Amino acid sequence: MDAVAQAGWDEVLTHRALDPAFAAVTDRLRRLTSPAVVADVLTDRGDGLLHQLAGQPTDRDWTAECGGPLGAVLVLAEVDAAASVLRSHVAAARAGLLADLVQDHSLVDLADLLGVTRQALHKTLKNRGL
Amino acid sequence: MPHQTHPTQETGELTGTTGAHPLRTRGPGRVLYAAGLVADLVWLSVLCAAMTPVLSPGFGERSWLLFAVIGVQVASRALRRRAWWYVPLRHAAARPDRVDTAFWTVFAVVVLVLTVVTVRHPPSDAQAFGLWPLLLFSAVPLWFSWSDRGAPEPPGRWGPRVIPCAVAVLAVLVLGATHGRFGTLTAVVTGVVVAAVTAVSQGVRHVRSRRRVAAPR
Repeated sequence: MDAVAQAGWDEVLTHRALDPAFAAVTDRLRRLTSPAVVADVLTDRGDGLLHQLAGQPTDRDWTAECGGPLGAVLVLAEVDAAASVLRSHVAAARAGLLADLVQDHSLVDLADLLGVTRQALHKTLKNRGL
Repeated sequence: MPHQTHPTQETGELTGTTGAHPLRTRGPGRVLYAAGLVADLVWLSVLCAAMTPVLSPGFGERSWLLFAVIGVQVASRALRRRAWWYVPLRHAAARPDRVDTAFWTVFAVVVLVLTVVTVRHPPSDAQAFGLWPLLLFSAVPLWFSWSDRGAPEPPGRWGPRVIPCAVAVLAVLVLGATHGRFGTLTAVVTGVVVAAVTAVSQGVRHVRSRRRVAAPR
């Protein structure tokens, strides 16, 4: 795989930056679609593609641009992977903030303020000193 | 994040020098922690009594008792950990010395009473068990801080735990020797070994705590 072919995918699939499967994923996508299309789908959070697959009118033929149904599946997998990475970053950031907050509020008070159960809050914090 | 006022400081119950602990804050946390301590005393006392041949001659055949003791121990730990849900953690402090002293003094008294019962009413099989389990139970807290605390409770001072337990060990050895349950030499050697292991364990803990302080966070 040459560096020129890889360049666009590096910028689009940032959620796979540390993924050892990055090369295999880009190989599969390259056969069916382009980095620009995948970037558009990711920016759109997959909404356009999902609407088209649900039979709703869309301004672009997303499925065709993704390379047909097989490409659509691969691109939706990237939307899912990006969402998963975002979700884990959000969870880590939230846990960090909660760990700070529990220094100054009791866990019970904090759960009341946030409207979550004490058990759920404890589950989040149990590896952080509680 | 803007600085938050320490909720318990608003009540005036805490000062910066004492730190926060469930027992120092009114409410459910204090009740839970106290219940955990009582449960700790219960399982320690029951285990000591169960190992005393006069009170519990058939202990070996009653394995459920051991499971019950483990169950109470787990419950006591859960109660104490749950108590920390009611306290902010920034100034988390160790259990107050007075409480620690009272806890281990009661434990030492239990050991002492069981020792007196054992030496006055020796079991038919004089070699069975004897005072060794009581000696072990009173010596182990000298070496480990197993009964205190899981996170986030910091370790407390060792004096309030070690002094009552050392007195208990000494009492068991003296009573055992004077009532012929130990030979004098055995009692002396055991006392020296217990003291040496205690000194080593405290030295190891001291080194560990210094390394912890020195280590970059």
